[in-house]
Amino acid sequence: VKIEMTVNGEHTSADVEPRLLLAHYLRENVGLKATNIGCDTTSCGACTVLLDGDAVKSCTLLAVQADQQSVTTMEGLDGASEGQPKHPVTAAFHAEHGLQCGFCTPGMVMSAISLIDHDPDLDERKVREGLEGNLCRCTGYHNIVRAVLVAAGKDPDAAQKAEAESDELRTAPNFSRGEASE
Amino acid sequence: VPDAKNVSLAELAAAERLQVDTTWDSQKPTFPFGAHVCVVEVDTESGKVTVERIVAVDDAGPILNPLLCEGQRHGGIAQGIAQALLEEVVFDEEGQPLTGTFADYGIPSAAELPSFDLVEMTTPTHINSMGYKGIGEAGTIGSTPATQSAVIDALSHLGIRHIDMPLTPLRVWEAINAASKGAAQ
Repeated sequence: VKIEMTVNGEHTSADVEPRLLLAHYLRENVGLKATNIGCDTTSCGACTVLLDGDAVKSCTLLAVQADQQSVTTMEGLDGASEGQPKHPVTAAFHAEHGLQCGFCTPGMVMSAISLIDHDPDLDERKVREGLEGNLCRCTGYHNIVRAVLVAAGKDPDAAQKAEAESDELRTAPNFSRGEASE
Repeated sequence: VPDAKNVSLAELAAAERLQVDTTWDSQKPTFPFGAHVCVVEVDTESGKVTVERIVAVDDAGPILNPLLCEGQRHGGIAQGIAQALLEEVVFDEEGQPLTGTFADYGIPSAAELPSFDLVEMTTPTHINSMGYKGIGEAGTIGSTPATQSAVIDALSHLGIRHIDMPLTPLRVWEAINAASKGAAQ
């Protein structure tokens, strides 16, 4: 199948197998290796990219489903070509030590960009729930959450303090907390 | 760098290749120590445990790079909580692994964890001249028993003294259910 898509502002096209995943198209056909494939089962989020501005897991999307659309990978962010953290989100990950081994980072950063785009007033709980689809083994998420708060224009110390002092439910909405039996 | 009395490391590195070959062997092991305290909330209806707060003291001696050291502690604490609450490799009777993907194996996401309170403490060891002790696994060692004990403490009024790790909602619910049945008889 012949497909065309804009990747990081550049036109790309290829004749691909219908079963080809977007993650493989980006890595093998376009040659952009920042997008990592961690689990192949849509659990870990390391392959997250932006499709027309929305975060998607590119190991679950077929390349043909992205036909005629626009994809942004970590390579498409400001400063990526020079290896400098110039984009506000990469700069915040750099400043807050929001990574250790770095494998989850491209997916985390793309998810964070989408999260910040979709919610102008993030707090710690919203960031944690917003990053639920991205797994990290090294950092315990502490500094990743701080980095996303910084990139969203929040004071991470104040946000962490507010969350620590909050009595808000820390379970998902509609999750039973035992009220039914009272 | 010829005829220089004071040379910065950067100047020296620019002038010639810096290389040191040395072997150092610690005569005795060092002992980092610390204490972790965990606050949890247990939903008695579903058995779900939520970590509300964890405070960790890890004394690794003098710290060269506080940024990396804190990162190691954060990651270790998260892994320790996960061991207490979620993570387990399960096999069936024939040895077939049942937890082969992240859909079956409970690695925590950001939503399952709180931010961590780290408390600084620096006690140099006398075993080496710099006083260094080490940090790598400190987080995982303290946080698992702290989390496990917090859950058991929360359920102690029901007469529960032990639940095998990991404290998944099913296991906690079963323990609560068994304890309340015992109390009803």
